[in-house]
Amino acid sequence: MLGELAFKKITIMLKHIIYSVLVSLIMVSCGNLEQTITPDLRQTTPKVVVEGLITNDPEKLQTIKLSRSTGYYTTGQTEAISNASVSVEDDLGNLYEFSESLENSGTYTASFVGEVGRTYHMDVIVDGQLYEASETMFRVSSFDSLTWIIDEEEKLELEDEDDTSGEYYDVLMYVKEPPETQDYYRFKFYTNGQEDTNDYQEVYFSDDILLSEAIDGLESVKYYAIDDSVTIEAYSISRQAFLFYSDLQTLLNNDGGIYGPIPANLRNNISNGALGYFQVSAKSSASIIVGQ
Amino acid sequence: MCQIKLYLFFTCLFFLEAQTFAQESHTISGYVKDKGTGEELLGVTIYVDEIKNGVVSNHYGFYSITLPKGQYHITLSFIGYETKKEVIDLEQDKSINFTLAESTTELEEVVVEAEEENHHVTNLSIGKSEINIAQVKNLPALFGEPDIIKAVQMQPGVLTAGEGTSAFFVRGGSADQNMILLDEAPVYDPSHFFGLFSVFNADVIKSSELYRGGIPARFGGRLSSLLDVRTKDGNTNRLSGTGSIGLLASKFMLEGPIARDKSSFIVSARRSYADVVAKAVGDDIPVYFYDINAKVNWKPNNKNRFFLAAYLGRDVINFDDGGIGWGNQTTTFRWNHLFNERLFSNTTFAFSNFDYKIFLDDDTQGFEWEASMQEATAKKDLTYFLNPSNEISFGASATYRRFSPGRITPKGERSIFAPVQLTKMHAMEYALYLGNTQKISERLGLEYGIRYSIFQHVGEESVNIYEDPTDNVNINIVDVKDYGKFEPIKTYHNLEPRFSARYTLNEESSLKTSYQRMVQNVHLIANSTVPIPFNTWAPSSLYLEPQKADQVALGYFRNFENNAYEFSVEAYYKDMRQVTDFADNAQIFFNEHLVTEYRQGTSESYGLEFNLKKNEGRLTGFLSYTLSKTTRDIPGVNGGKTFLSNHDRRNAFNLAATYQLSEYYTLGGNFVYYTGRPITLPTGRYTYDGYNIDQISERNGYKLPDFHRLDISITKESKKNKARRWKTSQSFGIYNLYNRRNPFTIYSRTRQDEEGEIIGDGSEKELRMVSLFPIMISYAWRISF
Repeated sequence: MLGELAFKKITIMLKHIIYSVLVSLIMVSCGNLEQTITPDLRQTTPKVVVEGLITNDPEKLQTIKLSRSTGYYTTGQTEAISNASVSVEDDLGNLYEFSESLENSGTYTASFVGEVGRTYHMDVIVDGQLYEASETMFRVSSFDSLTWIIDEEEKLELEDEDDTSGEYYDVLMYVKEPPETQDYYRFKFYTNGQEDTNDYQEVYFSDDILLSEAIDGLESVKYYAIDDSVTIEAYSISRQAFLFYSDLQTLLNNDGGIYGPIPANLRNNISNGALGYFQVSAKSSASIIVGQ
Repeated sequence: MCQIKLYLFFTCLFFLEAQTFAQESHTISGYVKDKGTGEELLGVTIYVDEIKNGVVSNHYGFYSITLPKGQYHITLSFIGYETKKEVIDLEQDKSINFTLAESTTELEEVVVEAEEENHHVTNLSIGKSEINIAQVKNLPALFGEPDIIKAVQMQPGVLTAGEGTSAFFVRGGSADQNMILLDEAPVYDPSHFFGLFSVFNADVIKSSELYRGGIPARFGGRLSSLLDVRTKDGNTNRLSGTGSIGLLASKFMLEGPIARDKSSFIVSARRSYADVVAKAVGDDIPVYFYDINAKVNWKPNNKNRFFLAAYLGRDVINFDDGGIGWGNQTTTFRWNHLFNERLFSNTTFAFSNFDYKIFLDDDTQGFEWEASMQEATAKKDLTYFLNPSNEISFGASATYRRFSPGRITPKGERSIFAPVQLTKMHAMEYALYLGNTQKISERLGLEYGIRYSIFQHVGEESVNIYEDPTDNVNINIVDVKDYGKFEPIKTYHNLEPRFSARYTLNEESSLKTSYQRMVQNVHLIANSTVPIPFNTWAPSSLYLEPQKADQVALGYFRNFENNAYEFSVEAYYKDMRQVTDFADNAQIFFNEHLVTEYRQGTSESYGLEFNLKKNEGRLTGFLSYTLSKTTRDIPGVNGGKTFLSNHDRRNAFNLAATYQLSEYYTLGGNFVYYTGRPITLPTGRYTYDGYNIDQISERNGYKLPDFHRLDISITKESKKNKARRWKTSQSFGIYNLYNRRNPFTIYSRTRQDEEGEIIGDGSEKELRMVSLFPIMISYAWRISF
């Protein structure tokens, strides 16, 4: 993984080790050491959630999704917010109105292409309340290339376990990272069209503080099988967005504050108490088919 | 406030000058030792019948009493030892070393004289707990390893985060507010295995005292407590040792004379087993710890003693292509010198190092991450035994600290990492103190003093000046100032007055009160409830002010049944300012701009502590109950609203008892009951880019379920065989007898099954409560010769 990612992996590995060590010291064990509990939780007023993404990809619509938060124990999809007023204005004075999609209520789209260097300002009005955010589009490095190799160790391990999935291929990334500027990235990985998020337990993002000039053959986040179509996308993000994803990663892996930080809400760029983030990114991507 | 204290002090000094005896007076002085081992005994009461007064031997076993010419009946008493009576004809200054014999355990109730055993009532200590090592060894221990930190955690006024951790919270203070000294050198991380064991090997400990209040002017540096641990000096009479083999760790200790009665040594080592762990985990991750204590001392004559002690401890976790290691090392050199019979001095040179290292061997992701902290101190402590009513202490110290918060170096040919070094920091600290322990009358005794400390953050360093030091999103550095080696960057100086008083109501009861001002200039950078070995420390500096605390306490002390029972009830109130806390989601590791994450605020704690001890007879033990509340008010945290401190626990009840069943069998038991600690839980959830995210409403708004546990143990001593010089014992224990799944923490996750597979569409969340230890057996075999 990259910089921050690697570090976060170490802390998670550490916690796994801590728990393993503690668990392993059991001499007489009776049942599980973890159980699900359902204490009474106080009610909270639902908040507006904004999922905004503006990119410089000419083939994608700009989208802003609006929904509401719900009670912790409530299941099912969260409520989408319809008939809201959504617009984005850039720093050159261009105003783009978003209209609600007919197929997906709560999803608002507009058709324009974002540009590196522009600052975009979002205005969302729900039930008479105004929610604003501002974000600049920073440049993103392009991928030099992707390659694939067979991970022999993994292949042997799978054979030992009688695993026939054939998932013992590594995909490696080659990217140039400019050291003069402070850059932040979010990554998305796709296998055969589906996004890999490890069941939404993992966020892939990085800063460049710990990275050296070039990323030469860094492994992707999982193992692949032959003929898998792999796509890796890199999105440039602001420092504020980097903190949002960092806070998200921390919250997803929280241990209740015993060895790690006390759980807290994510820092974001939207006003008036709204949750979520208004992300503005330049995007680059690369694809490869494993085995070819 | 300070001025009044100083005025009071000078008045008393003047008053006692006027009391100087007109007749010829002489001094008896010397050391009190254990008859069997030659170990100096500290805290021995030396009572003089004729003046109805006495003194107590100091930390090095030294005593001094100045009296008018005449004959005196002296009684020496100390817990666990036979009382000794002597008659002294005082015609001239005398140097007398006393030896006391350990008392053999009687099976019937022992009746003791009232005057000698009521120290609890007559001494000036308020808020001080003596950890009885012998008792600790007879109590049930986790994994069979007796641990003084576990005994500390059972004292009144002391709270823990649960089990399996060595962190302790004294009267509302956080885990880093305890000054832990091992032979006068500070120990920064007192735990092994993330807190399962402490770094203190009970076999080498001579004494351990916990001050929750009434901290003398001689000590400073932390807000909430002082744990003063001293190791044995080594048997000066004959070679002896102990060894023990337990389920998890083994240790041995060897002590003996180098030159009989003149010099001795003590060495001990302890190691845990890696194999047991690796097999059980199945992951083949060897985890182990070891520690070594060594000490040598030399007493060329009665006026001079030299001690050289060292401690080295390390925890190691190794995996296939990497590893983690951390540990403390301390070294102290001390010189006790008697200028004359009344002036005792101790000079200490102490050095501490704490460091950790994490490394990964990999072509593209290899790195090595290390951080450390070093501290070097020179101290001079003098005690002037003016007369039996006044014991004046004064001294000075200078400390240098170097903080290396982190360095990453890439490993491997094509490592993606670039070398990064966080700025190293340096600090100097100086302190001066003056105090007196004074007996105003038969009923009223006072201990008062003042400490003056100067803390300086010094160069060599390039210091960033921030436009808004609390903005951790948009970091704006407006200037960078360069400082040369030892050039002062920021200086803080503080006066810390200390005061305690004891008013004797009658032979069995007394009232005590104390006030202390404490200042802390080293801050642990941790935003979790329990510290982990990878937390670093930072000095007070431009953007981090010294933490301060004012504490008042009032107590009633009472002995029952001829001093067989000691009872006390104490109330305290503590006000803390500039308490170091951190912004929500603070990035505390590898943060060049860590300054922007600091949030300092206030904290308040108050409580009522009950303590009952039984020290004699077949059944001995103690019981403590603490009712307390601790809150924090930190701008920028929890929306600026008051919240319960992470370690706030309303009720804490501890009971520890040992029962001598017969000459060979001893039963031991512990029972604890604590209110659950506060926890932060989500009250809602929302979706963002497919992620199901918790919505948190307030910090520490909920409590974990209550914690309670019963442990028992049985120890069998081997039959004493006069032919053999050695004896063995075995102890068997059960931890958590009724197998309660005590809550350790609660975390939130998407609903999933045992294998980690998500159940349903991923929209359902669940709260998981983690427990650490179910019922567990422990066993240890010991040998001593």
